[in-house]
Amino acid sequence: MTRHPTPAQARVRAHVLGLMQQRGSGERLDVGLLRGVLAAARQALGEDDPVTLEAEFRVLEAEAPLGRTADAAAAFESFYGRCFPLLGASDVLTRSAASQRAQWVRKSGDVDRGIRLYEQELRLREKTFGAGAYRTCVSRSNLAVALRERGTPADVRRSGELLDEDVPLRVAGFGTDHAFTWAARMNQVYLWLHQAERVDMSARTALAEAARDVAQEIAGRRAARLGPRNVSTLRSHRAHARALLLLHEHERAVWLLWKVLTAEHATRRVEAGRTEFYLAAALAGTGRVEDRIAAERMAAKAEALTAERLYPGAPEVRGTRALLDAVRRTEGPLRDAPLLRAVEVA
Amino acid sequence: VPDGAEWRAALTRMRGDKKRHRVAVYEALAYREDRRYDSIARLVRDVGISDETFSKHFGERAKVRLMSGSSLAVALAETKDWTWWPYQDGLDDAEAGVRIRPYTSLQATVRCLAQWAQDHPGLARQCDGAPPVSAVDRTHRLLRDCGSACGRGEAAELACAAVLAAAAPVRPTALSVLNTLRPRLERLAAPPTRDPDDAERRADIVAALSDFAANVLASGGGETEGELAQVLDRLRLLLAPAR
Repeated sequence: MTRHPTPAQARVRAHVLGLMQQRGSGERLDVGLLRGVLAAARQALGEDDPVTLEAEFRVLEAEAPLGRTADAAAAFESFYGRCFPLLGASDVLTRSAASQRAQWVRKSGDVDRGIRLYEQELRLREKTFGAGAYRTCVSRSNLAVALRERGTPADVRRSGELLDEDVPLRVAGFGTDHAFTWAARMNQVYLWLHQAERVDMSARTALAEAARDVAQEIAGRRAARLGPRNVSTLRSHRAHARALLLLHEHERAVWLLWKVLTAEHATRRVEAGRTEFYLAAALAGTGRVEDRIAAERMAAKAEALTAERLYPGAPEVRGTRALLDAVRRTEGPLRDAPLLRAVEVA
Repeated sequence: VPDGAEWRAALTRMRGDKKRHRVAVYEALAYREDRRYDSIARLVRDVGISDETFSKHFGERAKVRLMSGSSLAVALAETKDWTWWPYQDGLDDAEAGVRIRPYTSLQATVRCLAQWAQDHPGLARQCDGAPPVSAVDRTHRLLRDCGSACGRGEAAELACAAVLAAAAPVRPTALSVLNTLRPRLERLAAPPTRDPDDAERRADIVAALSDFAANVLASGGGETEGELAQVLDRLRLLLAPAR
């Protein structure tokens, strides 16, 4: 049976959704506005009302990428602990909370537990919603991403298998020209980039070219459909630039990454330090003296931003450190081996 | 036949039994999805009114009717609209005091309509997934604000597609329904005018530069100013004659 919202609940739900859409369309969203809705919902509906919890979820989701990963993990751990008894295990909000918890547990350093939580989540969603359901596909690709990032050869192989399963399910359910299908294809791009950054030159080029072509295509589609400053559009530009680095097209990568960085300033910073990291790498590779100085400055900034956001010893933190060292040590353009060593850790 | 806003105003003005009976019918149709009201006999029994009272409010002799049709169809259309109002109010809350592009507002409306359909699946399915009249009005107004010349019929078809897509077996989220409808939304809201010859290449460059300038302006200075200086340096370097 559907739980019909009361008029008061429906109004809050639509208010939150209206704000989420403004954010999704690349308008600058003040998280304070979402917090305001949450405060009003607590007053009008009560702390434990399902729609108040939805609003709270949106606030946590918006705040998580802006702050420290450990704080986000703790916030979702506690939020999940409240949703479970109040809404039940198979409620979609409980499942979304569980998924966010897994994501931030992983990003805050407990990678193995994060992956275990994702495995459980996928099994549960397959059973509850069905294999091709929207939320099951999301969960499958979350697991694929987590495995790729842990990165043992078995993990990477399984990650590829999960994505090979996921893409056709999304095509069947949503069609090829759908943002949801593009997201799965972008996960394949990230897998190719991951592999390309770890193999020798001959194998690297083919993987990087495939990644470049798909990332460029999807970035264009996303820009046209979701907006040029949409966060997914910016992520695909960044993936495109990563591929360009591997193909020694540094100049193009620099311009693309500058565009991403200014767009991030214009909207909001997510994953602060990532764009700076790749921009530093691109600048270091052009071979221009002026760019080397800019690269060093940008790498230092990437390091500061990443260290502030993540836990000490996180791969991204070590990677930015390695990049900064490499920029300082290397004479001439920074390409291939010394660059890849930094990228590989990050 | 009044539009959604006029009908809402009329209902808000109503008092006494007239209003109480109507709302009781709306509540039964909206919230009692376990009961299938194929005919009015069961409905009037559940609500506790007579056939005559029902047809006085929803039949052809009723003073205010949201649409023409059988009394049950009218009651269903009014119920759809009545359940939609809080969603519309919530969207207005989200847009109060901020400047939003009509296209953003249009997307929010479609997304919210999908949410409405998922919150009221049984009701939404009735009458071939016909959307609430006020939601169609809003969609139409926003499409016009985007510069579209489309008629109300096309807006109604778009809104209906959102309601039906929300019930797809893959159990999409409201956002995913919006994504499904985006190509259609774009076609209606912004018909393509650009010719695909070599002007496109120049247009791409202009678009990229304007994106870039817009990003810098929208970021409101601060940190960006330093970075803008670096970008300009780079541009000068590229434009300078070879050394």
